This record gives sequence, structure tokens and C-alpha cells, in this order.
Amino acid sequence: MPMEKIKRIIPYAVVLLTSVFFWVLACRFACETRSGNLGPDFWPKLLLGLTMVVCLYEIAKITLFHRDQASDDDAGEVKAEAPKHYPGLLIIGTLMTVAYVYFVSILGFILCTFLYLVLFMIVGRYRKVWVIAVNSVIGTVLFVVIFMKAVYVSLPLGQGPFQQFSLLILKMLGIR
Amino acid sequence: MLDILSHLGVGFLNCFQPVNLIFLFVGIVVGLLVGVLPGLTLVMGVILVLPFTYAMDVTPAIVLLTAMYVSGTYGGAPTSILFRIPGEPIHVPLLWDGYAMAKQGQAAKALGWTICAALVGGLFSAVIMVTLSEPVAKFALTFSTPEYFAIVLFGLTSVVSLGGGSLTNALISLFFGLLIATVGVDATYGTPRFAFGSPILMDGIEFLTVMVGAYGVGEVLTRLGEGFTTVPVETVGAMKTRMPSFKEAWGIWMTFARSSILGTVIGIVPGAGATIASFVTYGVEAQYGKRKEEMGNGIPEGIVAPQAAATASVGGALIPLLTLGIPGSGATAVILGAFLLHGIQPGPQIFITSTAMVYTVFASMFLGIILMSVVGYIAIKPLVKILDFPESVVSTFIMLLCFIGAFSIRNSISDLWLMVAFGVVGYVFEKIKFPIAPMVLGTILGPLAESSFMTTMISFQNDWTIFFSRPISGIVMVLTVIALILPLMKKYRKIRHMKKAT
Repeated sequence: MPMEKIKRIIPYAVVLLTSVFFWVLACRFACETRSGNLGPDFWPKLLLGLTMVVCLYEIAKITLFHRDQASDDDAGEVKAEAPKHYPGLLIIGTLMTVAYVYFVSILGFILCTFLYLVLFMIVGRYRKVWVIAVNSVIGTVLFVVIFMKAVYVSLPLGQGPFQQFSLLILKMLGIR
Repeated sequence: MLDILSHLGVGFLNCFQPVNLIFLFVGIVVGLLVGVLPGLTLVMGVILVLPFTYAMDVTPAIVLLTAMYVSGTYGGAPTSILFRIPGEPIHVPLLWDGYAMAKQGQAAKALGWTICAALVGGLFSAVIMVTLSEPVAKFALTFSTPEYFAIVLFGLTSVVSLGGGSLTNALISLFFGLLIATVGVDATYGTPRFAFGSPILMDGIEFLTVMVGAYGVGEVLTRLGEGFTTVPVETVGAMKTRMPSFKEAWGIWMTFARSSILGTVIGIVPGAGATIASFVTYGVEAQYGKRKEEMGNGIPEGIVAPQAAATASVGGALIPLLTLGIPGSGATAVILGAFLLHGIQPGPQIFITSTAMVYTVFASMFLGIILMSVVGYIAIKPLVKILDFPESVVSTFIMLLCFIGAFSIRNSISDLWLMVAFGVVGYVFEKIKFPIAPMVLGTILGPLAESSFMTTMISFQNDWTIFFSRPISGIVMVLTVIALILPLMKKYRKIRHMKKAT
């Protein structure tokens, strides 16, 4: 089978296998229903079944009727100039976002957000250091004031010394 | 009718209360900014503003979001016309005649036509919205679960069929969204489903988390992967707007009328928002307009048609949201979220329980459209200057708003993890050409679809023919089938046409 076909089949195969996995899980829902009534597994199973059917149809279509150049869906469409890709930036940005979520409860919203703002702008290829610093400080303070003082969102303060640091900043801002 | 007018009068009075007026103005300005920035879509903008509304009363919150929705349909027009940078897909048709007119040295006139079109289209749809909403709501009070299921199903299938692109991908996206909505304790039997023992998953997945992740984080990641390539803007020199004279506008009254009506109707259909309205009306104008041969060469009809329809679609989209509690687009889904966060369930009852609030929102639409035109007329220069903002800085703040938005729904870090996961899903969907909108609408409408389906099955002894045998649900089910068949026929015709050509 040509590589292009396999590439096109992969997403549907993944969705199909995931659907099978969830179908098995749905079979294990613990519930007693009156005989003849639809149980809590019916609706998810219906959706999973339909997903499987659609995936199988698409896989069959690609395997049996696939054209080399373009799919039916792209037929007749003029291909736009593809934008440049920066996979490195994407991976770093994603990892930073994951790290933010992991560390926000440890470092607290204030410190974690400041660091995230600085680093994300740098990763986004922005190089004006002063603008980054000023934006990050003002941005963090502004968000803390708006959301903790005006909107009353209880943003994470962090743990141990980081919590003390957050409380100090909040005291300075007149929030606590 | 007199009742409606008197309620609307009270709505206008409420609108002039300082707090509502301030948020109306803020909504208009923020909506215009969101429309200008290419990295920030209208839906994303409305999502990002949502956390700010948590501490607000429901009326100013909805006024703010609705104002953003309205002005977002105009915001990207100036940059499309002047720099060929459409802030939103809505404004792509404006490139064809708007930019062409600007190149002929008539940029001020082109901008004037856009404002005029937004004003006429918006006001027209607002009138239709006010006139139709209450009667539709009264009619909807007679609906039972089969009708609700049929309507939700129609909404979901029209999202799939009108989205363009691959039908199978859209269906998978939709089923995935509906499946997300099943996570948590089942409403009928109280059985935990796909919760994996996690307390947060037991409570289900909030659709706002899905929206923030898929639209917000996903979009920023996509643009980061493209290196945040901001297009440099030309100098902002003598930039002004010149409104067309009454005589000129009257000369193309048919275009105004046709586009406003079409825009409103398209807005009512779930899944077909401002973008589809804008493209469809341009196409209709190019096929049936008086000057169809000149379309694309910088004529007013090519500007008026898409802009009037885009703004008119807003009033249309609010009708199913307010009367049935069914959002037909991403932006109305966020507005639904704002309602729910404030403990109000939109639907036919809202006209009985929250009449003042509903009519204040209606009145704010009229004022908002007028205010948008005035701000758009005066502030064209600073508006366009926004394009100079570095995209990486803007995107960083978008991410921050996403974090706060997802966190503050339930004050839970677990929601942040879910948001990141849906951000990755949004990115992957973008890459493999799976549309995001069906997934999001599936997540939103999933609980209503399942509960109305299950209740119908229990009430009617598993007789599925009930959906076809009751008159209203039967008609809607037929429309659903048509909505699914139409794109297939279109595709078949396209393939045949291509085969003939080769």
C-alpha cells in the first residue's frame, strides 16, 4: 500500500481503535434497568457505533477508491501557499503550557504567570526585552487585580515560600 | 405587538442605565478590536471575555457579549478593504470588491458602504428578532421531548453539512463532541460514565473548557507553529470614511434588502453563522444581482451584500438561542454559557421569567449597531493601528485569558489539564482537517440531545417512529435528512462536473 494511503488512513484507524476501546468500557457500565428500557450505555454506544461506521467507510474509501493527487474533498480547490512551519517552537510552547498548568499550584498564579508571559513571548520570537518585561509585569498585576479583586476568582497562591511571596504581592496590591 | 413594543421601550430605558451603557460601549470596542486582529477570531474573543462577566449581573454580561458579537462582524472590514488582511473569515468576500474599490482610490467610499451595510443589515435583523422571538417562544412552549430532539438533531446536522469540507470528518468531530458530553454521571440513571474514578470527570466536562481549549489554545498553538508571522501594515495615512449619499444607497436597495433577509435567515439556521451568510450572499449577488458581471471589480453591491448579511446573521442567530435555548454558532454558545453561569436557562420560559432582561438585550442590539457604526466611522485610524501589535504578545495574553477562563469555571486545576488536552485536540483537528465547530456544538447540545432522546424512548416505549409521526418533529426530521443529503448531492455533482471537464 502506498505511503500516502497509509498516512491518510492513520487518523481514522486511531479514531476507530479508540472507539472500540470506549465501546468496551461502555459495556461495563454498572446499572440495572427495567427490561426493555434503554440503559445508560445506549447513547454512548450509539455514538461510538456511528463513529466506527464512518471510520470504516472512510478507510474503505481511501483503500479502494483513493486517487493519487487529491481527495474528493479537495477536488477542484486551489491549494493556497502553505505557511512556514516551526515545529520546535510548537513543541516548546506546548511543553511550556503543560509546565504552567503543573507549576501554577506550586509557584502560585503570580510568579508562574509572570514567568510564562516572559518565556512565551520569547518563544514567540519577540525580542524586545524591555517590552517583554514591562508587558509581563503589568499584565500579571492587571490580571491579578481584575480577577482577584474585581471578579473574585480565587487564583492559586502556591505552596510554602511561594505562597508567602504571593501573599506579600497581594498585600502590596491591597487585595489582602 | 403592543406588548412587545412596550417591553422594548422598557428595554431601551434599561439600556440607558450607566452600567449597561458602559458595557455596551466596551463590548462594541472590544468586538471591533477582536475583528481587526487576525490571530483572534470572533468566537475566541467572546470566550476570552467570558471570565470578566462572572462577577457581573446577567443583563450587563449578556449585553457585553452580544455587543461584541455584533461589532465583531464589522471589525475586520476596514483591514480587509485597506490592507487586504481579513481579520475574520467573514470578511474574505470584502477583499474582492472592497479592496478593489480601495485600489481605485475610493477607500473612504468603500469603508462608508461597509458601515452603511452593517447598519442596515443589523437593524433589519434586530427588528426581525424582536418581532419573531416572542411568538416563536410561545409556539415552542407546546414542544415536547420528540420535538426538542428533532430540533437539536437538525441543528447538529446542519453544522455538519454547512461546514464545508469533508462530511465524514465533520461527523466524526460531531460524534466526538457528543461523546464528550456523556462523560460524568448519567442524568437518567445516575451511572458514572467514562469518569475513570476522577472526581472532576464525575461532574462532567464543561463545554466552556472544551471551547477555550479547542478554539483558544488550539488556535494559538497553530499560529505558534507557523511562527507568529504578523503581516507588516502599510502606513496609516489619510484614512477616513465617506458615507454614501441616500440617493446612492437607494440605488441598490434591492441588494440591501436581499442580503439583510438572507443574512437573518441564515443566522437562524443552526451552524450557519456570519461567515456562511457573507459568502452565500456574495454568491447570490454575483448570480442574480443587477450588476452581476461587474462583481469583483470594486462595485458597492460586492461590499454591501456580504457585510449586510454578516451583521444581519447576529439577530437571526439569537432567535433560536433565546427561544429554544439552542445555540447555532460558537459565539451564541458562549452567550448560552454566560446565561447558564448566571443561573438562567434560555428557552421559551425566559420570556415569562426574565422579560426585562431579554428586552434589554434586544434594545442593546439596536443601540449597539448604531454605536458600532459611529465608533467604526470615527475610530478607523486607531482601529487599524491595532494591527501593529506584535502577534506573540497578543497570543501570550490570549493564553493567559484561556487559563483564567478555564480555571474559574469550577476553580479547578483539573479543568486546566482538560483545557490543554482540548487545545492539543484542537491543534490536531486543524492539522488533519477535522472541523472544530461540530465537536464544540456536540459538547454543548449533547446533554439536551441525550436527555430528550432517552425521555422520549422511555415515555413512548422505545417507539422511535414517534420522531416521524408527530407533525413538528416529523417535518424537522425530514429537514435533517435533507440537510445530510444536500452536501452529498453537491459533492456528487461536483465530481461529475469535473469528470465531464476532463
